[in-house]
Amino acid sequence: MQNFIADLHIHSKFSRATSKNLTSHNLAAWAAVKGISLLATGDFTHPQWMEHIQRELEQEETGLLRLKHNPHLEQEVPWFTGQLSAENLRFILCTEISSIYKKGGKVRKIHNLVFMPHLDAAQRFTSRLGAVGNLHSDGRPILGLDARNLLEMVLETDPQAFVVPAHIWTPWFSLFGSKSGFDRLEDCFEDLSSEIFALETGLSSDPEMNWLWSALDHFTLISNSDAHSGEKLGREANVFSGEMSFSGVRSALQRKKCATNFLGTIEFYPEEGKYFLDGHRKCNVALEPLDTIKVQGLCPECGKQLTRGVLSRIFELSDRQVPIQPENQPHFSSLVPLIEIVSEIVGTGPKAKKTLTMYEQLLRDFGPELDILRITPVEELQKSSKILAESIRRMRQGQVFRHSGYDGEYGRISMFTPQELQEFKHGRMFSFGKNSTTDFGDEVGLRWRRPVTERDKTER
Amino acid sequence: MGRVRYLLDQGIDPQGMVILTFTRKAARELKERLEQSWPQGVALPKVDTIHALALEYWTQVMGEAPTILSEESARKLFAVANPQLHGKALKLAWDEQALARERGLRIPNSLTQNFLDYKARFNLVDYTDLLEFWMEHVELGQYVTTYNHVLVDEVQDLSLLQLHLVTSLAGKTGHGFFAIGDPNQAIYAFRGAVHDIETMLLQQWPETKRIHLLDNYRSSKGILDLSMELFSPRPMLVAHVEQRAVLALLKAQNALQEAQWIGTKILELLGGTSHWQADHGQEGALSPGDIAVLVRLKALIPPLAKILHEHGIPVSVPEEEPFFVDARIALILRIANHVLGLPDTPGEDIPSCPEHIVEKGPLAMAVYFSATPPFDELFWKSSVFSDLVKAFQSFGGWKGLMNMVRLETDLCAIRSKAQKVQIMTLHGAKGLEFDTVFLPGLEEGILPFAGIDMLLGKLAEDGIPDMDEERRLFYVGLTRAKHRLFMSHCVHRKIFGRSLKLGLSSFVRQLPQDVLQKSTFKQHVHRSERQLSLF
Ligand SMILES: [Zn+2]
Ligand SMILES: [Zn+2]
Repeated sequence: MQNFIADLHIHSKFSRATSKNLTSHNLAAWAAVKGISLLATGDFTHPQWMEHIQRELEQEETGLLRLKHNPHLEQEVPWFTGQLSAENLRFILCTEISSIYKKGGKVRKIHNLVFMPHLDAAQRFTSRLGAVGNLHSDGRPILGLDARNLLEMVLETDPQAFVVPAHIWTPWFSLFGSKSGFDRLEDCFEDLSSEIFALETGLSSDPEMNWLWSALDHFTLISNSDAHSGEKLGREANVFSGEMSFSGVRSALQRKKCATNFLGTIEFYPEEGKYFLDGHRKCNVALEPLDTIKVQGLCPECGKQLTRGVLSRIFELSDRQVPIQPENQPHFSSLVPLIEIVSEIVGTGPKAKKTLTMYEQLLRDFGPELDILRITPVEELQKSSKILAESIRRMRQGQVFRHSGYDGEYGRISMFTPQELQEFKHGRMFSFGKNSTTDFGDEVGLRWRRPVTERDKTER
Repeated sequence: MGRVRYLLDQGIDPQGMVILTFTRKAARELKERLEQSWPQGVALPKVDTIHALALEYWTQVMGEAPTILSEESARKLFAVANPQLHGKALKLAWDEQALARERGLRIPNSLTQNFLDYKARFNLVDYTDLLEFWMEHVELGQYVTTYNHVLVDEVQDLSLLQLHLVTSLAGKTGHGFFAIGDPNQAIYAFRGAVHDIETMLLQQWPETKRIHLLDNYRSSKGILDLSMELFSPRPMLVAHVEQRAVLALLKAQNALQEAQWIGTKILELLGGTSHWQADHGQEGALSPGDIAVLVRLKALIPPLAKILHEHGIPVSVPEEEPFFVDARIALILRIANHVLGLPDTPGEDIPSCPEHIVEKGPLAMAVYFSATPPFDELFWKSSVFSDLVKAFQSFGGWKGLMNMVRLETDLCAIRSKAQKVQIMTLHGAKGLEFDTVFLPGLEEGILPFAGIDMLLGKLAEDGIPDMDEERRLFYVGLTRAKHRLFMSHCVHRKIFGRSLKLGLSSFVRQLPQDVLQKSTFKQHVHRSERQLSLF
């Protein structure tokens, strides 16, 4: 069975703060660069984007859409000299709705993804939604519509249509967000809660974090890029196998037996987020949630209130001490964008010419980025660059250095210690292929992932 | 609220309570607030406007709901009933007799009599008729109150007719009557509100206990202190909300700047509406429903709404009711439905009309029914009827038209579900409260309003509005806010097609200036677009 990668949450140029060249051709070009076969249209409630969709895409029987003409995509990514094709790319009608409303005496700000099985359904939905608010000024419209009522409208539009709560742990704009979310899914969707079968973990969390909470066990956890520019496509994505169709994807997410299977997600390292751990930036203090409790939420250096991170919010709601992978929940792989890996090796910034040249060479030699990161055998990669091969091997095995973000300070993921990089620069080869000598487990921000017993050992 | 809770705790049956509000909106809001704290399994007391109750009574007595004239139709009918009157004289005559009726005179003059005859001929009523009908039944002893407790909100704005009605609902002794009002918020004198309602009540029931409510639980101290400066002697209200108030005053060069400032502020208050705004530390925590923009004149609403829309803010403006809500249009639709056997036909008796006439459309029906009650010649010339004719044509007949009506009705229901920033007139905001209130257009001539003639540069023939009432209106606006008040005015403003240069409102100048955070937009400001980082 053929596997395919799906990125189900992106935006068009009609959303705020997005790249102005985000057209369907640009998206298609980047999808080819990354190795994505199923891409959300994004923003379908925006009148001009819908016009664009209707002009450039055509509806297929599968409920998905494809580019009408086989366009020359090369001009969309000028630095790329290889071939790009949109032959196998399909689009799924999807839009993100931002709901801001008051419920239970609190202000709620929640983002939801809406999926539609057909252009007609999407247009019917848009015309009804237009009565609620202004859809013209933002591809991701802001409405004062209760998320439950949004879900009801979606269900009334078409029996196949569905809603997935977006990036559920983002503090400000999500279902469980600490600032304006809910503590229980049922408080948000009430009588319609059973109509939700999938949740988007978002950049700020990975499945393992969600496995701390048994209430989420029966949801399919998906991941998407939420890209606002082409190069960010697929930084998180989903892997399916089998038939590529709307009903297939829907059933797979419902974990029904059908021609399509959900195999799991491709994840960003959530540690990179700037509010992953609790902490106090001024004092360089970062703590895991259980340690925060020990210090009563106060900075051990200066005694001020610590800024709580996403992990802490999950611990607040969750009912497990250790993540437990539920049965039927597929595994996931955590990746670092290839451009960042190259940047670390080359020692220049991710936008530097030198970085881009090597990135381009790799794409031409080995194919799409997600193939390089996930599939291409290490031995093959070694033919091109030994250190790159080592870097990718370490990433695939999870042997990375995670410097967790906290209190507004971005986190960082690296494959090598500065010392290793220094050695490499001077032409010396270090022990490739063996596990690194560094004990990754000691780092703050990683302990919670390991069994309690082991955790106790390190503490003693 | 407090009183209702108290009565409930005293073991009073809520069935015997009635709470009268000034607007339906206030009634809805009060009901929602009661529901939140109401014990389960206990019925809510009746909460509605006096007009809604009067309609209910009429329907109960007559067996069916009357055909109610909108204010616009009532005026037109009055004009037809009195063909000798034109222009200003007609307007004056209408206002005068309307006022007299609100003061309790049923038929103040022959003009009203002509109007009444017309209404009777076509089986129509206006809103005041509903109250008069009920009042008459009370006087004749045909209606005996079933309420032990009558609670009246905003009593200062009741007309004499309304006052008589609500006091008679409380029975002869007035036992259980509880009215609450603020003389400083009296803004409906132009519609016949009684000047000194307190004295009137004391005359009727000398035993009435007067409670001076000096405690305010709505507004922050700063807002209340500021507002009280409008009156002399200064009222002595005590604020119980300690939270610090935000009091701002903006001077803009033009209305566009003013609107953009409001839009930006609202986005900040909503805590940003996208990731990057939250990231920039603009951490507001309001929902759109917590915010209102209040203006003196309806004409100021559309340009404001447009700019806020462009900022991606969910906003609502007072809407005209669609034509098919009109009682007689609804009747025509029912007839058509019935005759043509379209779905949704209720089984009630409705006037019959031959199928071939219905098929030809509303204009043919107009000829057929002509002056058969409840229709009258005038109705066929009304704007709602011409809207029906247009819709019939553009939707290709009854079927298309009915589908449109069904869809629109559905959309109305959806629309009412969403929470939005409300832009409305100061009069419309009566009895409502918001965390944050914007008061744009604070220019001398707009608030206090100098009359349309004055703004148009003509001789004032429409009567100069009462300064004291305008002042109270401003007071109402200020005190709608719980925590934040954003006032603004423009150097230049285009209104009614004229470009005006009005100064800052004298009311604002009368406020203590040192507590206001002032900001000014310079002329020809260079606005640089903020560079957004890509997420
Ligand atoms: Zn979002
Ligand atoms: Zn500290």
